[in-house]
Amino acid sequence: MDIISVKFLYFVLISLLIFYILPGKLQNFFLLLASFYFYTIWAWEYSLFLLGITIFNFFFAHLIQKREARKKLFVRLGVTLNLVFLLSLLSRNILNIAFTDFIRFFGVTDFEVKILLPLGVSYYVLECISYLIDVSRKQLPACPNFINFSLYLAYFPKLISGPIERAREFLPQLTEKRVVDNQTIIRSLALILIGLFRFVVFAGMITVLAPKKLFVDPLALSSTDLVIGIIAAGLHLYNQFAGYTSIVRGVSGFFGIELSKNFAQPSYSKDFSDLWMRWHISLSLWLRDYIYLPLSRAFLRRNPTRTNKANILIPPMATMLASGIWHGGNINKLIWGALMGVFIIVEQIINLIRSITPSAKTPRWRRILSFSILLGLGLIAFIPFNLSIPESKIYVYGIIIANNWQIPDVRLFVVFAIVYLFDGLQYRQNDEFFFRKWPVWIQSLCLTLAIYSIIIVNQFQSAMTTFVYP
Amino acid sequence: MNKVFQISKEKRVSLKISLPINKVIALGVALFLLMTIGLELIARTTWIQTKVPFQAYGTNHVQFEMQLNNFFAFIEENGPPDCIILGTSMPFRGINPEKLQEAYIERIGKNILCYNLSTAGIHFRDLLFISMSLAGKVEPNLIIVGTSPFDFTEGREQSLDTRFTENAWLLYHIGDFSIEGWLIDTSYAFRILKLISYFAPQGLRFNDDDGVNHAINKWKNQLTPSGFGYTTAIEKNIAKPMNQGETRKFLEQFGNFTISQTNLSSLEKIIENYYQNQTDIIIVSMPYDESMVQIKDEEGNPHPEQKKLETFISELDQGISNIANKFGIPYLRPQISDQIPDDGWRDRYHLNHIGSPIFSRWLGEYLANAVETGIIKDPSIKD
Repeated sequence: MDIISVKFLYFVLISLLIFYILPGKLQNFFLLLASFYFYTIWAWEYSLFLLGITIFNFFFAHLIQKREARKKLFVRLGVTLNLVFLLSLLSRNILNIAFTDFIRFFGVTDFEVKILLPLGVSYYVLECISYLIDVSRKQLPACPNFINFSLYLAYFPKLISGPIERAREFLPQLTEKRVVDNQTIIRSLALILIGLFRFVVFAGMITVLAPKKLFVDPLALSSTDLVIGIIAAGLHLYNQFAGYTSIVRGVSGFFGIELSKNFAQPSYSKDFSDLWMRWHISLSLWLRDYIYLPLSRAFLRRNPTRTNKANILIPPMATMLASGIWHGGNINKLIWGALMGVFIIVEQIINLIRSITPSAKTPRWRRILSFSILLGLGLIAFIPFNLSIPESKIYVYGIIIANNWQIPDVRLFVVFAIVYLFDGLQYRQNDEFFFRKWPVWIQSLCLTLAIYSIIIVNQFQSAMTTFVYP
Repeated sequence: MNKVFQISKEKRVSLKISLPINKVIALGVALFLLMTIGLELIARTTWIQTKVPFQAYGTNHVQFEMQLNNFFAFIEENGPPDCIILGTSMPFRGINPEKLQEAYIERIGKNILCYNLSTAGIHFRDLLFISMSLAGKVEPNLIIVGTSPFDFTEGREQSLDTRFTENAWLLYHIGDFSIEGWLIDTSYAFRILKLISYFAPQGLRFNDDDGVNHAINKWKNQLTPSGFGYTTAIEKNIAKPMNQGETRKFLEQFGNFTISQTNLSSLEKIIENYYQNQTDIIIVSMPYDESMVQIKDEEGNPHPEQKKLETFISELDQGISNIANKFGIPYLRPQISDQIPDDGWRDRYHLNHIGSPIFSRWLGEYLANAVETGIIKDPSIKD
């Protein structure tokens, strides 16, 4: 069941109706059932996986809490088992072949092993790991209620693609009394509308106007198209993902649960470190809190000098490589992670050498230069994110060596400019609902135009899936 | 006046709404409705409608939709047709309803009104869907189904897509209601939006001469008011065997020479549906040039796949024959290819402006004979 679908709308409406009819003590239980139903529709095996992980981590957290003396051992064991589970799923292609060969060794030839990759597993396994570590650090007690803990992992708005929620922020929401009033409803509706606008209109128009066969046959395109295409691909991913997160935050608001913000105008980042505080924030914070900071502290304990090579090189590189593994674990994602690690390391070295100027005092030319460097390097790293190594080489060849520059499609720049402006308005006012300060009639007009845009571009997107028969 | 609705206080999460919820939403909804009504009124004006090349129904199949537009215009002008011709590009190019009517009238002295609803590039699976959805709009007395070996190849099985089977408008007419289906059916503005969306795969380039514009111009010139696909193209090499390139392309369609069961069973279902409706049905095998099925290798000897091709054609013929026998309907296999002159072929299996009148007249004479001998009822008599 896609989040952007009429079926999902019906599912949410029916769930809301039942949710608000039920007495308080059954509301969480119902939400859990609805979440498992949602997951089971994708595949019943996914629900089994999730149930297994939930039971394991629920009891393991209690073990960590009870056995103070062996806490470190248990938390390491728990985290390791979660990681082994996740990594084996991410490398399932290799395991499928290995297991099939193993069975065939015993003469069974009609059987093929196929390990499924449950949707959302990368997200909820990270939530489990953070939960076990937070319990061991006494940042929160082990959840006494199995239903609430299950709901923390299975909660359907965030189950498939995040945000990656911290138990210490999510679990209290399941026990405190809440009132969903007009303000909450308006805020939720606004989030859904912004999400749909990003997902359908921005991402959709980029799909329609972007150079075709960008990653399929790049040498058939001009060098200009390849450069614009990679920018378009980046903005497309951003608006799809940010739009999706906004929608699920809005949906969650109707149930009285607030999900965390996942994007904060990444196109206004000052540098790569800032970028990772604005892009997929929940993942970045997780990586920071559970890989980067522990590693940094460990290395600083060994060598208290900030300029020590290991202190500078290892934590950012390890963190970004971990991010590459999380994003798919194949070689080109690792290259992407390594490139990002290099960029952050270089930034840190520059910051050590040079004093940091507050952004308000940074001259405009420096800000534009920083942005250009950020954009250029980010796009270079984005190529292997999307393509295998041989394909990446062809792509870069098309840009640099082929030297086939032509006049680009200006309309795409108009879309880029509108995206940038929209983000800019949110950034300048530090408010994702920047429009609420506008006069009522302008807000209403924008609301109408937004709905029309969504309807129109949705039709364009639908037409993209079937070629026009001449 | 503020109304407050509160659903139970004894909940962990309770709902407390006061009306009006929000002025922006209320005004926004009002503006949306006004804009919708305004756009619909503008879309219905004669000036706008003259600019719209055809009403779009969301299948992304320009020829089919222009065909459909013609069909509705035909019904408006002439009333519902007595007979409908169904099939793919072979009957589309091969059966000219006007020539069929000429021969029929000459022979029997009565008129027959036919419309050719065949569509190029379609599958019988899709024809089934289309026939089911149009069933409520028109009930002809006679259906002529044109078939060809090329409709049931493995290649056709593998190229099935969902442009028709998931089309909201067609589903709406089968009884599967959706807002989109209803909008396509009733709203001129929405159909214009659908037409604009066809330009999306080409990057919304409305001035491009290829793509959608090419298709519109092509079919404007080739689609007749009776749904026939008129073409003056002539296959220059008809007298020669297929060359190796042609042979390779030809054999690609057939794959392992298995019959497309999806399309064959859809043909049966089409026949069954019309049969249950007490509509007369005739299946006619469309002619093709013999060079199409006498494939040669590089030395000019019979191709190694020749036997498989012959077996495929024979088994398919048997399959269609079984369907015809099951419902007791005629299955015509006219031996007419030798009557088609060399310049009567658009390509080796499509007739053109010279070949189609010959075949159409033959069919018209057959129909007249069939009515006279009682094989079928007089299609012009309405119940």
